[in-house]
Amino acid sequence: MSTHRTEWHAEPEELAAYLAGEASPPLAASVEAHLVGCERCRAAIAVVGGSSAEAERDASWSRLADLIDRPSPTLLSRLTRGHWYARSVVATPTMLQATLVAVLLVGVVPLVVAATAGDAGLVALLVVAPLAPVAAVALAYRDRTDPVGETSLATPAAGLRLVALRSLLVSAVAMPAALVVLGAVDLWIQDVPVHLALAWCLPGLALAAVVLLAGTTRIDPLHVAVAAGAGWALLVGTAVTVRRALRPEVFVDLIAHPSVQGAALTIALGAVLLTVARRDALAYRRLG
Amino acid sequence: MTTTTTDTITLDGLTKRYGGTRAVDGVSLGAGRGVIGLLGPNGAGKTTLLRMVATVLAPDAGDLRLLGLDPSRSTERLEIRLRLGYLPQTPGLYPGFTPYDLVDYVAVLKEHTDRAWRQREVRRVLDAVDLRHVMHRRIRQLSGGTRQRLALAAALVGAPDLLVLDEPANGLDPDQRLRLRSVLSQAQTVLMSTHNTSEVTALCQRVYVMLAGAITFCGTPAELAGLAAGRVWEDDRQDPQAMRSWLTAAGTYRHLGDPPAGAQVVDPTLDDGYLLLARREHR
Repeated sequence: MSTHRTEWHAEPEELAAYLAGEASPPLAASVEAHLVGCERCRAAIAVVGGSSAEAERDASWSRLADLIDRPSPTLLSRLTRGHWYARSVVATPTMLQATLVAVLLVGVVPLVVAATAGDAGLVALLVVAPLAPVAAVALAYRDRTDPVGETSLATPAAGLRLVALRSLLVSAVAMPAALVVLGAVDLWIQDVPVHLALAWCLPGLALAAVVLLAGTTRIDPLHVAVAAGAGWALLVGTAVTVRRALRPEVFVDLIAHPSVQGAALTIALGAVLLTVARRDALAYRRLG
Repeated sequence: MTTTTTDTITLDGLTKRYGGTRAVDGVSLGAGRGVIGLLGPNGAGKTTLLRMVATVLAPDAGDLRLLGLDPSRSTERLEIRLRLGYLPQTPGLYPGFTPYDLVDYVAVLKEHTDRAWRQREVRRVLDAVDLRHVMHRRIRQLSGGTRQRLALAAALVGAPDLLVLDEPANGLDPDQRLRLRSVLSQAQTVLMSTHNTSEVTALCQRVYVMLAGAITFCGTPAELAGLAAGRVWEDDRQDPQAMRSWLTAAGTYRHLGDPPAGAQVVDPTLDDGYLLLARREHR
């Protein structure tokens, strides 16, 4: 703390009022600004506070400096105050990035493509949209996701509950975003059949559930997520090649077909049930 | 290594492998109330052992009992985690939080749902490590030693019956180390790893030495120092016959090994006992 010469000094009664929180706002602001540069008044405020001991003075000044230096809460902090699980998601860079990446995957990219290349945008949406929940689950498993790192693993909350909650919170932002984008495309660019708009949801859920299940094994969920994403892209690529047409109807035929949707639902339910059954392996890890 | 049913920590043949390497190799120990020190060089397996005791990592083989409970059973593991505080080697605290936010978050993870209770508890543990005056600053503004104390505060939430601390004195200045001793002396059972033998001397009722994944010594700090009794001598020149020689602050050489005839044998310290043990195992 720098010290500079000043002519005015706070009176003891002004310091006492400031310490008690009873000073008027202009006086409090003046005293606060003055204390930053005046060592004499910092010493005086410690005396007014009840002790002239040097240690007590330092402690008083530290408390005061904390009051002055206290950061303003961010918008996210205000929105999530009191909702700690939500805060652990939005406040940490990894989870915030996961949310942004997921929204970008399902929203902006296909929108841009749709605006420039018509049907190709909808195809792109169907290719990338199921990957959003996959990315959400894979990132929810990363150690760096938690604000307290490894400490969280030794708490009762560690395990499936925390991972599932984080995955759901990211997906809860990304999936509605995808539907909003589709609505916008339908309204302003081209018609989007409802069954086409919803066709990707169950395959996305199935892929994400498989990644969730991987967390209960010795296999790295991130590797499974990459493999699942690549597999999905290969499936769609093969369909395009075979049908020789890059049109949404191709994917309606393929992805929205009841047998494909039924298989996706079965895989999703099976993987979730297996994960719940094996949740102990997630809460008490075999890997280092 | 004998254990009793009243021990807070009981390990029997605990083993952890990474690939072909046994990081922890059949470790057995029993520890009751008090501060227990775990000494050993880097790579000896201390952190892996502490992670298993903290229930972060499951052992590949062996039996582990904490507070009389079995962590491999999910309901018992939950109870252990409610009564456990853990300070990892690399706490990795998110720099965007304030100390208050961070400790409050840990209290939530420990399932303390009463907000008024949490407010009191967060202030209590921040007071204990002398951080209350910075509790509303961003963690990125704090020094390394302050962050270490903050991680310790997070471990103290809920006054746990068992504290597992991986090198808690890392980055602390002498004054902060004294405060750490004061905090730990009030805890029920503490298992801590350290490189610092002065912490062991000052704090620990028992000390274990871990080398190459195995426990090679168990006893009091005085007993560890006693291993080097009659095997430490000092003179003003280096001795090539000594197992280890080093220059002291007084300008004389301190030697460890078999003293030559007429050597000026001195009282051993904990460092001497530990170095002798590590050297013997290394051969």
